[in-house]
Amino acid sequence: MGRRYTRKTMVRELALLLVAAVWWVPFYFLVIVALKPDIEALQSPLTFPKSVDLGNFSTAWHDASLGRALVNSLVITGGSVLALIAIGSVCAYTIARRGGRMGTALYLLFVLGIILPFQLGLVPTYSVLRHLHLVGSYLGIILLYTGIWMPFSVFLYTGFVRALPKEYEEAARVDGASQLRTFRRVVFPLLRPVTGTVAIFTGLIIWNDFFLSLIFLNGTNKTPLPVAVYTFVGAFASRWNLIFAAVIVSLLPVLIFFLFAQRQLIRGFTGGIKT
Amino acid sequence: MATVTFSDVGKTYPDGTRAVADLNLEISDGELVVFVGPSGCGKTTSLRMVAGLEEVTEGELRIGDDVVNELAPQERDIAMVFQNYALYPHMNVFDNIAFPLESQGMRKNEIRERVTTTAKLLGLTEHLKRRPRNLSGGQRQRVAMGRAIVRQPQVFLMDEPLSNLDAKLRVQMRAEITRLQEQLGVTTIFVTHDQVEAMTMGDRIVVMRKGVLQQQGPPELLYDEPANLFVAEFIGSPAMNLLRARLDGDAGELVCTIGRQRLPLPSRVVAARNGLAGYRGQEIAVGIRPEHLLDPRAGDPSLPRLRGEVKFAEALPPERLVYAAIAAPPVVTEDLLEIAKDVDEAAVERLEELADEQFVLACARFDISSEAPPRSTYDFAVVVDRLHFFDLKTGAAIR
Repeated sequence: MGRRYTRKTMVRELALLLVAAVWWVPFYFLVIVALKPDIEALQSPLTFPKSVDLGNFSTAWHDASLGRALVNSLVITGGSVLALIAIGSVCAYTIARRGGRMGTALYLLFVLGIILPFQLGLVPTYSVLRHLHLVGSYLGIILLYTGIWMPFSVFLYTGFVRALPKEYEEAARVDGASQLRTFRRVVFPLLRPVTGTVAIFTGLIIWNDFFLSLIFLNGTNKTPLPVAVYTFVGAFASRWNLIFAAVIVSLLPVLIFFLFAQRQLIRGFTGGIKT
Repeated sequence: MATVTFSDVGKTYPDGTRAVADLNLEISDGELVVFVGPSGCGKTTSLRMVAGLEEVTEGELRIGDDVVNELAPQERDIAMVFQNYALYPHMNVFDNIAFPLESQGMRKNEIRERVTTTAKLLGLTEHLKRRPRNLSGGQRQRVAMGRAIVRQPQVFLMDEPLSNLDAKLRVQMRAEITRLQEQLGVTTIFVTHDQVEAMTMGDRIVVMRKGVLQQQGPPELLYDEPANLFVAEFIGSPAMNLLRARLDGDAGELVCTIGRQRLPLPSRVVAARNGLAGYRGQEIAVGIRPEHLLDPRAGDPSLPRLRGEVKFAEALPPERLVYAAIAAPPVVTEDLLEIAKDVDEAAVERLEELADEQFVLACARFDISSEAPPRSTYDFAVVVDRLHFFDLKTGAAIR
C-alpha cells in the first residue's frame, strides 16, 4: 500500500540526504586531492582542482607497485578468510554440538581469545614465526590473521549452530550420510548467513590492516595495499596527492565487490534459515 | 523389510530420568504399529531408539535378526519422517529426495530414475525444482515421505508427521500414508498423540504412559476392552464417561449404585466378568461409552435407565452429542489427571474442581434423527452389557 508524500516525509528525506552528504565529505576530499598536481595539493589542498592530473594514478600504481600489492592483499585476505570459515565452522560445530563441560570450556577459551589483546603476544609470535622462517611469507601472515581472528569466527558460528535445529543433522544421519557428508552437504550450507557475516567482518579488517602487515611483511614483495600506500609517506614530506590516488585504487576492489554483492550480503545479514 | 523386536528395552538419561522402561514388543514384517500416549509417555523416545538417534540403555533391540543397539543410524537401513519434516531448506525437492541415494553412492542415472518414480507416486513431479519453503504443508509432507520411501528401507519411522497440518489435510494425508504403507508393505512405526489418528491408521496400537506400555492390540480391542482406566479414558472421542459407583446386591444379582440410582447388572454381565463378584460392597469405577448411553425413545425399551439433567446438546451429523449431569461422584485418579494435563493445565484444574462435586458431565451419543432432549431431567437408556468396570486403586479393568 503506497503512503502519501507529505511535508513531513520531505523533511525527513532532506535530513537523511544531509546526513548522507556528511558521509561523502571525506570521499570528496579524497578525490579532489588525488586529482591535483604536487604543488597545488600542498598549497591549497581543500579547494576544487584548477587542473585535473590523472597521472597521479599511474604514478601511484607504478611507484608503489600497487598491482603487486593488490594481488598480495587478495591472496592474504582470501586465504585468511577461507581458513577462518573452514576451520571456524567445523570447530564451532563441534563445540556447539558436543555440549557438556568440554564444550563450554572450549567455547570460553575462544571467548577469552576475543577479550585478550593480541598485541600482548606480538613479540613472542614474531620470534616463533621467524624461527619457522614464516616472516615475510604468505603462509606466515595468513596463519597469523587466522589465529588472531579465529576466536571471533568461532564465537559467531557457535551462536548460530546452537540455534540450528538438530533435526536436519538427524535426518541426514538416518538418510545414511556420514558425519563429514552431513556437515558438508547439510550443516555448512545452512550456515550461509553467518558465513557471510564472518567473511565480511574479518575480510574487511584483514584487507585494511596496516599494523601486522607492516611488522611481518615490510621490505618484502608480499606487502599488501595499506603498506604499499605508505610508500609515499616520508619522514619530512608526504605526497598526499599520490597517497590519496593510491587509496582510491585500493578502495576500488572493495567497492566493486560491494556493488555486485550487496543484495546477497544484506540477505545474508538479515536472512536466517528459511525452511 | 523386517520385524522390529523390543526385548526389555529401556532408556535412562544421564540425569536419572527413565523415559522408557521394560518395553517388550514384536512388530511383524509389513505391519503398521502406532505408538500413542500423552506428552512425555516415551513414544518418541522409543521411536528414536529404533532410529539410532537415542542410545538404548537397557535390553535388546532387533531389526530383523540383527541386534542394532550399537549400530549408527546410517547402518540400520531405516527411514524416518520427522515432525517438522526436516527437509533440507537449501536443496530443491529433487535433491531432498535424492539425498539418501547419494549417501549410498548410487549412480546418477539410477538416482534420477528412482526419484522420478517416487515423485510420480506422490504427485510431486511438477514440484521437483522447487525449494521446500515454496511448497504447501501437504506438499512438504509428501516430500518427507518421498525421501523416506525412495531408498526402500527395511523400516519406516514416523514421528507425528501429521501434527503440523490443518484438520482437513490431516485426514487426507492419513489416508494417503495408510495407502502407501499398504502398497509398499514396509514395516512402519507411527508415533502420534492423537488417538483418532491411532485408531484409524494402525494395524495395532501401542498405548504408553510414563515410559511403560499400558496395552497393545488392534484398535477395536483397545476400544472395547481397555486394560485400565488410562487406556479407557485415552482411547475414544468423546471419551468414556467414568463414574464412581458401589457394587451391592446378594448372591444372585449385583447392583451398581451410582449416586442414589441403582443399575441392576444382569447375571450374564456378571458372568462375563469373573472378577466383578469380588468387589461386592466396594467402590469401583464404571465406564460407559457415549454410544452406550442411548436415547430411550430409540433403543430397546427393556434397557435400564440412568437419570441425568440435560445441560446442552451438540448437533454433529450424523450424530447428536447430548451432555447431561449425572448425580454421582466423578473418578479423579492420577491417570486421568495426566491425560487432562496433555490437553492443558486448565483441564487439570477443572478435573480437580470436579472431584469435589457430586456430579459427572456425561456424554450420550444419539442419532441426529433423534430430537434434542429438553433441558431438564432425562432418563437415558444404558447398554449394561457394554459397561466397563475398573478397580479404583489400581485402575485395572475388572474382568
